Amino acid sequence: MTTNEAAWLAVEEAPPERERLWRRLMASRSGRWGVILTAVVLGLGLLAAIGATPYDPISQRPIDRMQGPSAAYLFGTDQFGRDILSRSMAGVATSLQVAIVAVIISAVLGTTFGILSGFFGSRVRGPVNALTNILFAFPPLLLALALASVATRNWFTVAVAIAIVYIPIFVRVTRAPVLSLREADFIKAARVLGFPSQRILFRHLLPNIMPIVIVQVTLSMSWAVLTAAALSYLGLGTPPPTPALGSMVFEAKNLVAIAPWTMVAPGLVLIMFIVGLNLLGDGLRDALDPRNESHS
Amino acid sequence: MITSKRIARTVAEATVTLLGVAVLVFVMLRVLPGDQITASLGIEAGMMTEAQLDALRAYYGIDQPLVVQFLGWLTEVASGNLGFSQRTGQSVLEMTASSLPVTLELAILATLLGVLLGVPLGMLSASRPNSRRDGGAQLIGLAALSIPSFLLGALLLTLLARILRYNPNAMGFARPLEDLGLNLQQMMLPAIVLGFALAAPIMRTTRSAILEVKSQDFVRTAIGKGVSPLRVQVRHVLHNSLVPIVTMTGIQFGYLLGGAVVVEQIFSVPGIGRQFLIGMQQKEYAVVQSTVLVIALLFLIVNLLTDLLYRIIDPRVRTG
Amino acid sequence: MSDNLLEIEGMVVTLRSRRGDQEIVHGIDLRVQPGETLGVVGESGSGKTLTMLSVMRLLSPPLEMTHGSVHLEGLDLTALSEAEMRELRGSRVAMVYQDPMTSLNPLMRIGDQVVEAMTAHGVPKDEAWQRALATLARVEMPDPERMAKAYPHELSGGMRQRALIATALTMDPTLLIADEPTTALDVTIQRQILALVKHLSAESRMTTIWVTHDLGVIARLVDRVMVMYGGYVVEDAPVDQIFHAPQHPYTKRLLESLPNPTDDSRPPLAQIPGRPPLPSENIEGCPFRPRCDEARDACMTRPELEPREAGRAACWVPVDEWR
Repeated sequence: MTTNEAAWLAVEEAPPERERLWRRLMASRSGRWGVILTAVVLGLGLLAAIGATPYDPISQRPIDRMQGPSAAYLFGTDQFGRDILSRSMAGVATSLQVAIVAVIISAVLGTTFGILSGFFGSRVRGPVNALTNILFAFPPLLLALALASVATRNWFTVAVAIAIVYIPIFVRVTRAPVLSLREADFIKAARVLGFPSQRILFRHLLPNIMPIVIVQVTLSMSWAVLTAAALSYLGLGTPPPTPALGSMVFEAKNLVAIAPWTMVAPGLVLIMFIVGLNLLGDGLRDALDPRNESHS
Repeated sequence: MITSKRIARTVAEATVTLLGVAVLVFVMLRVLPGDQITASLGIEAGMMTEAQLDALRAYYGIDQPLVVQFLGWLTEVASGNLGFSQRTGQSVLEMTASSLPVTLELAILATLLGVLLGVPLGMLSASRPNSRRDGGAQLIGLAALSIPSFLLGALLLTLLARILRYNPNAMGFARPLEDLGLNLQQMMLPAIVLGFALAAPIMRTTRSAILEVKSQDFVRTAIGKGVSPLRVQVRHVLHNSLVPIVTMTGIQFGYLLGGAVVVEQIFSVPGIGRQFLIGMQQKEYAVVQSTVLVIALLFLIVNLLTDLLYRIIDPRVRTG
Repeated sequence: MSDNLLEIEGMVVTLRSRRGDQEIVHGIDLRVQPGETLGVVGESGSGKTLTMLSVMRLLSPPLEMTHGSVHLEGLDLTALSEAEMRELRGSRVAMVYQDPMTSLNPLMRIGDQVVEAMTAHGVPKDEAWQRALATLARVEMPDPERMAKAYPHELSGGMRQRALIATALTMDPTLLIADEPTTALDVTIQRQILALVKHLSAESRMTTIWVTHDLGVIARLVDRVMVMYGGYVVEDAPVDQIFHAPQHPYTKRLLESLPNPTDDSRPPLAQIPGRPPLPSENIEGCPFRPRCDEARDACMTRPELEPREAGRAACWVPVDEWR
């Protein structure tokens, strides 16, 4: 660190401390429940990912088909004798895989473009604007559908499809604060002092828009899970035999009159997941808002 | 003043965007290995010789370079020819003319329901923030946001169909002019499902808009004049909250045009979303291309209209 | 003296919060005679605006008037129902606010906003519109007919403030409260508005309370001045006495800090070192003690208002003992 930077860092605005953030998050009701629900669902998914489900989600056991909830099968079995609970857990793992990858891609690309287009002038902003306008011209679900159907069906292409839809949202969400931060004294000082642009962007600008990015990441996770499920409901998601929550609901639709439990587990898990993520996003937004500092 | 210069600029921007959309759609559909011919012929394609397939390709013009194909398609669209379905032979224009009004009807009904549910809930929430009333309303909003439409739709459909033996959607779709009663019955469930989902963002926007306006000085001025509480709520608070509410409603309405796909599928409503889906499933590129273009165009128009509406509500923007 | 137009006794305004309640206005008394113009002077945070809002019962949570009484022409305002209070607001007692841009509904025409003050009290629409135009003319609004059809953002700051004044005056209130109506305006416009209000209140023998932080503004405007500091009244005297023989060190410092390029005996831009206390800083004794040149040991006990010359002041130290 140069002496210039050291002296100047003392004047820089400080991002919120992590420990206080956690406490604030847990203090609000939505934050608390968001963390709990999301943790529970994440736990289920992780268990499935390491293979720790009660039964193998894929193998069929025709002898035990169409059984209601019992001690052996907590949420019953489907028409192939597969344990619904285990399948739901595996479905969560699938959703997680798709959603996390989708959100990482869109967050990284979207934030980068957003920062670049906010920080540098019209040379960058023009083309970025044009591109985001084009993507914004599609209703989101439709775009994801279209993208997912044109490529070979596997979980990665579904993730990419969802990512592409969300990139412009990250661009828009990060561009605005960057535009205003650009005029902030500490950034202007940095430029005048001759700091290389890269450094300014990554070490000084990025930490200050992190809160916004974090909240958006949580909210896009929730949309990603929802969309991935909708896609798999329509048969356009991860191909079988990998269990997916949406396709489970689809199959359950025809069975629900005689076997209602087939829809309960995947439906409940899905709702819990999305609710948890939404609450978490709300809680994070409140916790990260500097105006709420005085409340703790 | 909405100058003609502004209108021209907005139209120009929209045209460029639409062009970009066309390019994107066109390119997307040709990413898949195996072309339209092999896809639509299915098994038969395997029985043909390469020469025969080439002849077919030449006939349909898909052996030309992409750019040529694209420009060719654009000129066709500009002259009103949106292509044909290879299977049914029907022109896409005809198909769209039949499916688009269906989706519009659904979107309008759903938006109405969403607003009727969302705005009052939002006002209720905002009247006493952080109270139990607020918490309850927000819970409903959260539920609406988090229950996927396909889940709710599937649930409601099977519940009514299997248990109450009521399934108007099982019969052929009725047009409003032919049989309004049946049409409305068929639209009811899908509109409820979509409207419920829409109510969530509208409620949120209403709540935050009202909270923000409530604390502004001019509300205090109105109370200080002795104006009745009802009038303060409506003429001062609600009126000034309208802009974000209307904007959000417009956006949500736009989303419905394409986003109703899943619900249309579940309830067998022959709307434009379903047209797109079936086109995708059967690899009918001509249908898909033009359908997406139409949807994108509509979406842009809805956004423009929302923008216009918001300028009418807020005179401050007119001079901008 | 029960022939006062407005009588406030022991008013306490509290800020309620989950962490505990905080008093902001500490039990003040205020009396205004009919036809009098009273100036209430104090820095930001002195509680002057809150006091006025309490009179009109315009305080909203978490602020609340927790003690005290307010009588308007003998009527106990704190005992009225909300509906009864509503009848009084805008008709018998009216207020003009500080920032005319934010105090006017941006989506309503000026004329409609003036009319609203009348229709809220049962005046029929046509008559209200006529009276609105007349009032706009009275506040020296050029071309009232055209202005009435305009929206707030189309008007200049001075015009907007005239519109606000028109809204307040149009029902001929008995009491007008003007809360720093010129603070948000340019200096030249300030003088115009000041002259206007002075003229209007003289013309109609209306009782006026003028709230400000700037002692200079009210020199030729008011009959009597009440000085507030830290939520207390520290001096209350006729305007001449305030300016020529202040009885409280704070008042003296306020006078000294008025810019005066011609007086060589003091610095051109004097300041009072330090800052006014926050409500949470419960200062022991006299609230001005930390910044006061005359502070003695006795000041650790808060002085009450005692008669001083033609008015009252809350200070242990007599003027002839000042340094």
